[in-house]
Amino acid sequence: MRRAILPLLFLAAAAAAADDVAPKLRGALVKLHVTSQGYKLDAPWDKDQPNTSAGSGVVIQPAVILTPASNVADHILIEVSVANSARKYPAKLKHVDYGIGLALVEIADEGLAASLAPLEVGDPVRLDDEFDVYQLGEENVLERSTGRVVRSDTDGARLLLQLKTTCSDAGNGQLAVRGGKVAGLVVATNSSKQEGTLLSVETLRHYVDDFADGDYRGCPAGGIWFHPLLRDDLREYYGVGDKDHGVVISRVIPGRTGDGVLREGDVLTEADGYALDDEGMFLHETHGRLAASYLFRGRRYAGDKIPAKALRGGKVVDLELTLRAWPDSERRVPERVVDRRPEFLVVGGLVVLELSSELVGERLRSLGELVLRRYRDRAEWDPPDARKRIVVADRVLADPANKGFEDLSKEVIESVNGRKILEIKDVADALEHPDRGFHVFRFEGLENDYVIRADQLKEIDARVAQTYKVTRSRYLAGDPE
Amino acid sequence: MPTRAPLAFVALLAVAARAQDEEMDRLKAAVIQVFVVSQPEDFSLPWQRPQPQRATGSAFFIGENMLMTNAHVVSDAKNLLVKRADRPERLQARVLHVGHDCDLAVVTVDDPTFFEGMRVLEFGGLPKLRSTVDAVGYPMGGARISITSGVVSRIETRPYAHSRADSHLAVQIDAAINPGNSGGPVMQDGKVVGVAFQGQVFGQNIGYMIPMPVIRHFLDDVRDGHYDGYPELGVYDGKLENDALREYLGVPAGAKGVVVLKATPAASCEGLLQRNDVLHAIDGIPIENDGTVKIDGEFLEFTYIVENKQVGEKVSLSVRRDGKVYDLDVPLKTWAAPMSGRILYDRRAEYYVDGGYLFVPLTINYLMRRGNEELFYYLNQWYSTIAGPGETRRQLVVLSRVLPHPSTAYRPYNNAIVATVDGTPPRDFKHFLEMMQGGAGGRVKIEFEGVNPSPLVLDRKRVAQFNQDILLKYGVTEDRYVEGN
Repeated sequence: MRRAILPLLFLAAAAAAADDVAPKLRGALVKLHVTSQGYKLDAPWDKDQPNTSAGSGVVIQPAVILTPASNVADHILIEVSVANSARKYPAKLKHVDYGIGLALVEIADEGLAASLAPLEVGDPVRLDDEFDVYQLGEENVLERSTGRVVRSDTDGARLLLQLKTTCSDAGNGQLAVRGGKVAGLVVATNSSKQEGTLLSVETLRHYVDDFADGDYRGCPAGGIWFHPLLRDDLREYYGVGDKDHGVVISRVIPGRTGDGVLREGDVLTEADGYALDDEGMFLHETHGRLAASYLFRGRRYAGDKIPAKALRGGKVVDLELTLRAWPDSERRVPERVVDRRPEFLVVGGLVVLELSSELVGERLRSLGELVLRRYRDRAEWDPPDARKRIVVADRVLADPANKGFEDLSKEVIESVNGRKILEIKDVADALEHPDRGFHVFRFEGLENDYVIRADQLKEIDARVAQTYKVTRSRYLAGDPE
Repeated sequence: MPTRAPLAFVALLAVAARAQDEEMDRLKAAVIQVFVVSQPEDFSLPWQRPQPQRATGSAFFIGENMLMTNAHVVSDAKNLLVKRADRPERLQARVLHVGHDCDLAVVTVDDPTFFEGMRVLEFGGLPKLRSTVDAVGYPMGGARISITSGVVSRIETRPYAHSRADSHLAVQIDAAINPGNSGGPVMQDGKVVGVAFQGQVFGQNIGYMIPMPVIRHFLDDVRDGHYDGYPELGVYDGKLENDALREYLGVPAGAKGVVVLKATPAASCEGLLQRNDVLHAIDGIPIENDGTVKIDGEFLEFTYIVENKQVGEKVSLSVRRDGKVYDLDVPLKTWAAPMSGRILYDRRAEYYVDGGYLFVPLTINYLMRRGNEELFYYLNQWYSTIAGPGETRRQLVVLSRVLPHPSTAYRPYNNAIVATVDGTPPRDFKHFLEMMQGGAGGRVKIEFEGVNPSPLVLDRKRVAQFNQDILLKYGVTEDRYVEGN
């Protein structure tokens, strides 16, 4: 008899805990209804299909919701709703950082804001920890599922926890709760595999604290390239003894973390107080073995300084690294084109864009795309020229004036009218200076010149615009939206 | 009278039947079945060879104890037997000449009795479109000689699959060319008008034959006892369809031609033509804006003119450069690049195993066996930039794979292109091997192309200790094969 009673008692206790949590959650968990509309990268004068989707967020300060950045990308309209109510309230984006993947959304309606109560961010969760995951399901009824951490991970900027979870795939940002406090936000769920990723408490705090002091600095960027020192031949070559561990620096990107301090051939042995192993990993006190990129990117803010140790010429040198940001605006190949119209030109039927990671798909259809991928992978130093961006002729809108060039696709523009192209606005500038009455586009590694008669350009552009319904033939930074 | 009509008809049929019998006898004695055991190189494990393969093909008698067949029938052959349709025995044959660029070969049989009573099959000309031809040979599906009729449906320059890099005139017929047909004659009016050589995987009843111009070119070439191959003009050309481009290049209205994009290194026009030259005519024949020339009422690629010439002959080009038109005599050469983009046959795979790392020169054979996108990219780059004038790299060297061994905590390299050895880019595979032996301080440092590949450092003394063990463990019979060594 005793044995039967005990489990019953436990069940009763669990039910009581859930009941305690539910009212708190109902005041903190919100559903975001976001209508977004990006631009078509293959026809950048047009907007994409508008799309309304739901995601979750948690109120962490009065009237302020924390949510994954992907929920608000390219948004046109943000609305929020709360538990047990069908009403949607307007909200607006307060801040977003796609690098760390988080955003803050502000509730405009004072009555709604007053009815909600922020939930505290709790203690970090770690391997094997279990927790509840909440979201507002259909008809805004509170739904509970569970999750368990199976692996700690980092993508550099963020500390991520891989989960086994019973979550549904209904929207990013489902709320993980442990001990009545926020334990993370769930993203990238795959319900058929019962998998998901938890944006960790550490990462949420990192972002929220950064914003709170009114001086948002963001995550520092990478920029230090290294080789592992697993092979004896390399260890000997770089003079690393059996007891020393670390990685050999192979490249430091100018202007980024380590520039002027770390040298190629240095063996980096310590960073921010942590010893590095021969594969470039370190032992985190809570999360175990993590990639060292987290030390440079995820634990501190841009502008912070961290100590480091390296072996140089057989001697230990103490270094100080200034962690530097690397905004997309300063990258040769930006990571993403979001919340803005991509810059483009349609010239003589040629659709001209700047290369972004987004433009290069992982699946390669042509050699042209392979070339572009190569650019994306090593764009910051190769080729070593003054280019700010890689400008690409994406496609040709066929017209009598470009007869013979119809097949041109995804080629890197080297020069226009003899002027080197360092960014897309150079194309527009070069068009002011025709070459003996012609506009001559030259492409990298391709001998075919794209030639248009300068005096016919306006006429051609007008015809192409009409034929293909190109509603605007250019958008460069500074042009009216 | 009405009764005679059938008689005459019967007689005619009989005459026709007798003629057909004679024709069959002649073909049976002249069209030969070829039995080949071939063993191509394994470019993935180059110290080994794969299982020998058995195949059959066809050949035909062209006089002087010579049989003509396809190059692909006799490529990498380790044993070659031939059999007449009218005799039971198979005799040993050997290859006299092989042209991999045109997929033709000539074989002979040392036993002269083989040719007794054999009648030469005479050559004809280029068959007309819509005319009927007969493909004769020993295709799969039976042991005896087979004749298939088809209609000539297309005559054009098209890729020859055997080398992967060459295109020549080919005749398409609406008869299936099946395995075993290869090398057999295609007949019209009792004369050979082509050699059956390839089919179409995705088409039904589409076959191709090598026509007389290509056959004659091959036979003329080998007359001196040596096959040089087709000369290569080596011009990348662009169409002059675009009016703006024509004006920009200063091509007067009404003038036609193509624009030179590049003259391929190590081919005939290297150093003679440059980007944005315009070619108006070849051997006095005007070149159209789409790069064709009109020959016998047909528009063929202008490079077809060179197809009919041998190495050492000249071709005359009418060239426009800087507003002036002049004639240029181009002495014709073959394409001498060490990485020509052709599949290699009858050549041993080159390789070098050192410290458990397998290095190979980048060849099409290797790419087809173990290639990936990155390698194809580099090969293409090699053509467009690296192989440019003044570039010293004649061949690319690839770290193909690692043979793991306790003495090396290895990292799995896969298809890494060697950038430098001790800071110097290797000119070719031989040069690479030379550099691998030396090295200051008894070490060699190899760096690779790519985003951030780890370098490889080999300590010569240490490698010497375990090299033999690695070779033994992995069954590597020799640590290297390099041509000319």
